[in-house]
Amino acid sequence: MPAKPASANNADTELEQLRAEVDRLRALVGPNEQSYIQLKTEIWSARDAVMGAEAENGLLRGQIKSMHGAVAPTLMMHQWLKDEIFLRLKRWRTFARRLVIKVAKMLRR
Amino acid sequence: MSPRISVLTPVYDPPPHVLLEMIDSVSAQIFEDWELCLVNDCSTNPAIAPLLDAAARADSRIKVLHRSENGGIIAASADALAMATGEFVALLDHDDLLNEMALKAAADIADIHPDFDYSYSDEAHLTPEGRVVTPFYKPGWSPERLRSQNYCTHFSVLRRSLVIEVGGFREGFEGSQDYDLILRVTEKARYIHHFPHIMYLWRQLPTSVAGNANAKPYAYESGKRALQEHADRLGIAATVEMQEPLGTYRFRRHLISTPRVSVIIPTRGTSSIVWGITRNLVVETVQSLIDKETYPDLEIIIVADTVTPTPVIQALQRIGGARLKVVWYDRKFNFSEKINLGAAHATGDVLLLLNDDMQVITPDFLTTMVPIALEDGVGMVGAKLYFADGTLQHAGHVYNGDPYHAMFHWAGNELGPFGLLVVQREAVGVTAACALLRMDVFDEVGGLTPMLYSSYNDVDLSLKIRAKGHRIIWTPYVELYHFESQSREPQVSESEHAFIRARWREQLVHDPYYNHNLAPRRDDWVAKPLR
Repeated sequence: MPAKPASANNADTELEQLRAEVDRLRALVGPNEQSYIQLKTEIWSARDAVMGAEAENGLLRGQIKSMHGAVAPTLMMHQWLKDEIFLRLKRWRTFARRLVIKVAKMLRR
Repeated sequence: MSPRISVLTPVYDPPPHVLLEMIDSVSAQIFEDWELCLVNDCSTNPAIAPLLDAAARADSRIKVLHRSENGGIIAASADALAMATGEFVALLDHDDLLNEMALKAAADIADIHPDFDYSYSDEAHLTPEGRVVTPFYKPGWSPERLRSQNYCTHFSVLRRSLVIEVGGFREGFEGSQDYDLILRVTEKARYIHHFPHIMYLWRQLPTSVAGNANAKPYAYESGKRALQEHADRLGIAATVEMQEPLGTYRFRRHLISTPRVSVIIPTRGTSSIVWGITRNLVVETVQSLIDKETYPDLEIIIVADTVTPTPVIQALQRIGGARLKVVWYDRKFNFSEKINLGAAHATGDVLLLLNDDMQVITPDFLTTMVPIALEDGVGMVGAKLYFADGTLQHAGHVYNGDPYHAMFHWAGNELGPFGLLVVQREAVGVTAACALLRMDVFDEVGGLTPMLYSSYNDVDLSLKIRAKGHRIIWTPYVELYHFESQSREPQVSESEHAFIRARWREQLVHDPYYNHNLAPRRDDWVAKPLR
């Protein structure tokens, strides 16, 4: 039987090494290849669960946002009324003050 | 000399007191040279005819025609049009009310603009209790939105000669006869005006569309046909589809030609956690593009910072194959420069600017965007973008004192005010995170402005495009996730803010598709309180 060429020997060695690496990785992953697939499946289902939870959160955030929009006109109106009342009170105070001064002057005369 | 305005009102069995209020609202107009053309379409209520005759006796400007048989709203409207002698006609329903300034405003515009052919105004609903509710503060002239919904409707004033030229009211469009007429008139109108004031109160009766959207289901079928004929008249290859909510339509353009699209993606190869899993953003962006898009002539240009990890580039090359090019960028971060560099290497007639932190949702989205971008007058097309939690990241820009994203962070399934988020429409600008534009438009405006290295470059691009007379269209039919600012820290520099404000001061305050009745510095179409 002719001797194997050197390159064939090298290839065999490399193949052996690769098989050993596969075994090592399999050992890392779990007792069988199925566990790797299961792991991936678990990761994707975890991702889907996160996605679902985030979407639920997003819906709530969106609802809060639209509720903010719904109350915004009322808040703006409230602010406007507050400003208006404050302004009117200020005007009345000035008017009353001037009136008192005027009356006081008249009485002094 | 102000022109005469003829108000056209077909009448069929309104409650008598409602009819009287309508007539009174015309009689109370500040503008005096009007005529009210009332056509009684054989009302079954015996009180109506004498009531109309009495109104005509009381004011010579009120003309009444009693039809001998009931012909329906289109025949009655056509009769009213035949009675009209005014230079302009205005459309008023028998149960609605006009603001006393409505005709004066139209007459003033006709005086100022001799080529004024059509106007519409804001409107509101009137409840049976007499309360004014749901004001509709409309955008300025927005032809794409008119193709998605009859947002103009009331209060419409049209040049009579043009109405006659386009064939007046047409049989076969019952319930959408106004929509059909407005489409035909606006195709030829020289000057179109929007009055941003509530000139029209639309009464909510159980039998009216204002009170119940399902009141006239046949109207939506008529609207669809009116739109389809509009597309055919203009030579736009499109199919019109009804959608929810009723009264809105999808104007789906067909892809006739397939020019090469160059997708430009600037990146530095960052990874980030999205939905609990670490992903390489650009790799996933390109993967989702390749998975979802079957457009025949696509080129992907990755403009990569030199710090981009080699495995990322290798992964991109493996996914993109021969149609993916990598252009290296070795300077300090500048988004605008990176896009411009990518465009310089592009061989396509159309550019898709795409951020590296996206995930495509809509399959074959280019078949929606490309035909819009190829249409005359359109400068750029934008998409509907969501954050990872499904809230809205982008639904067009709003320039309302500062640049904003419309309805930012609202729930992704919201319809928006008056269907804003589900209709294709003009927008003042769109984000460059996903924007499609022709190469000639990109060249015409000189690309992106490098002084805006991080922020507002899309605002600037949008305004440059609009300044050249192009329209920008936002479409809700192209959806992507945008994991914004996960590839970079969000930052708005003061110098960029100052730059954009100095360059576009006026435009950032006057968004033609917003309305001055809406509260400033907001993105959500909230009205200023009625005072």
